[in-house]
Amino acid sequence: MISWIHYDKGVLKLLGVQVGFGNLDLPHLVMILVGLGFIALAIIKKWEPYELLPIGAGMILANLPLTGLTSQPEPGMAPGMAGVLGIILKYGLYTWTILPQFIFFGIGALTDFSPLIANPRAFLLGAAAQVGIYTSFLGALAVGLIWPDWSFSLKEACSIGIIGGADGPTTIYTTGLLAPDIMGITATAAYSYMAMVAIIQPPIIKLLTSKAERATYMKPTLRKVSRSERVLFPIVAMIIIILLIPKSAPLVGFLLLGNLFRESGVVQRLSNTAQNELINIITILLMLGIGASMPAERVMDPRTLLVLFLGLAAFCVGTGAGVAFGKIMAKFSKEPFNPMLGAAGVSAVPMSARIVHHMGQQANKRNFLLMHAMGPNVAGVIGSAVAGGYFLGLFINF
Amino acid sequence: MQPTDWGQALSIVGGGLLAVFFIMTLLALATSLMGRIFTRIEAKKRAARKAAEGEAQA
Repeated sequence: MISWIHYDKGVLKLLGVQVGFGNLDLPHLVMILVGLGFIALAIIKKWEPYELLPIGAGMILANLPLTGLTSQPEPGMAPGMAGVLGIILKYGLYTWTILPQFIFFGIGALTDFSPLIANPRAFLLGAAAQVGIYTSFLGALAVGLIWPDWSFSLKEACSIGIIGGADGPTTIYTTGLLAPDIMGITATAAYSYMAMVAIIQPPIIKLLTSKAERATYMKPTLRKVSRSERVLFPIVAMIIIILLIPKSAPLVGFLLLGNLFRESGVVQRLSNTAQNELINIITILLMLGIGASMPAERVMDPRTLLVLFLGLAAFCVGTGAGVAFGKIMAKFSKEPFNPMLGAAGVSAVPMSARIVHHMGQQANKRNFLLMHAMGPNVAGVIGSAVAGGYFLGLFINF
Repeated sequence: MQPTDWGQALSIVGGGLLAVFFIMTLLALATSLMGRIFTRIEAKKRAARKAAEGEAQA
């Protein structure tokens, strides 16, 4: 006989059917509230809505009890028992790790590298801004000296450091392969800090530059880049980078392949698909997966706060290192050079470039730095993918 | 958790920074060279076009 209400193996049942609220504990409730917070930030503040909204939704779904949505497929599992989020996690992120690469493909198709081709010095600013990655890598390892119980392994330290590249797909791909347990947190940190560029970067830039430096006037236009250069650039860059760091191929290869589709001008339909439908579909799957990778039992850990702090430190140091390198370049440059451009070397495209442009105009109304700042900004995308590839090359042998 | 091998950690930092700066410098040089070549080709084409126009007018 079915009773109205009873517990069966610790699960509350009403009329013989499992109900969730009886199994909703405090940690899961907190995570649901965090998910709601992400959705609120996306809708009200419009902070990275394409990322934070599905991440928040995935987080809520993964923390509601007894749904089975995050059950990953396993050998011998009865048909239909794997949950859709579990399938996305297993095949999209943990086992095959294909989703971040297709996001990079779409980003490549959306990116115009002309400002970088017109001003190749910007590559160096994109390199300097990666210093934050290595600083936080050391910081993560140093945690073990102070709190041995919360120490991070080398692989985890690499995954935390890569947040400083401010590049979501690179963070997800690198962490997915090196330290999948903290992938949700590192990815969320990367996207959250990208959303907060306007809050994080200006104080650092102001701290490291004088008003006169920020007001440095640069001619607003760059030289015109020919179509041949734009077509040749992704091919040359792809070959150089992958020959030197083969493990960066999944990221760099797909980024530059997408760009080749765009610039070739002969596969417009494919380029349009990569820029629109493909990247949209992959974004839905990837961000839901990221949200679903954060059940309370994985996130409710003091180390999570450390990851968030170290990621923020990486981002701040990267910005500072970029500006410092910009100041060095300004010293040696024949023409006036605004050192703020170094801050755009983190790959938060195009937010960092916009911040630099805006601050340049605040200091000198004649300044129009957007195109100058886009160069280091897109160089940062390449730089962080190279740094991620380097980390993978240390630990992963395909 | 195994204790951190700081020697390995520092070599990762050194190697990583070197790799990033080296590759980005190489890309800067390659792109700059590419730019010079194409700018020269464009200039030659322009000069040839002007010369052809001049001849046609003459």
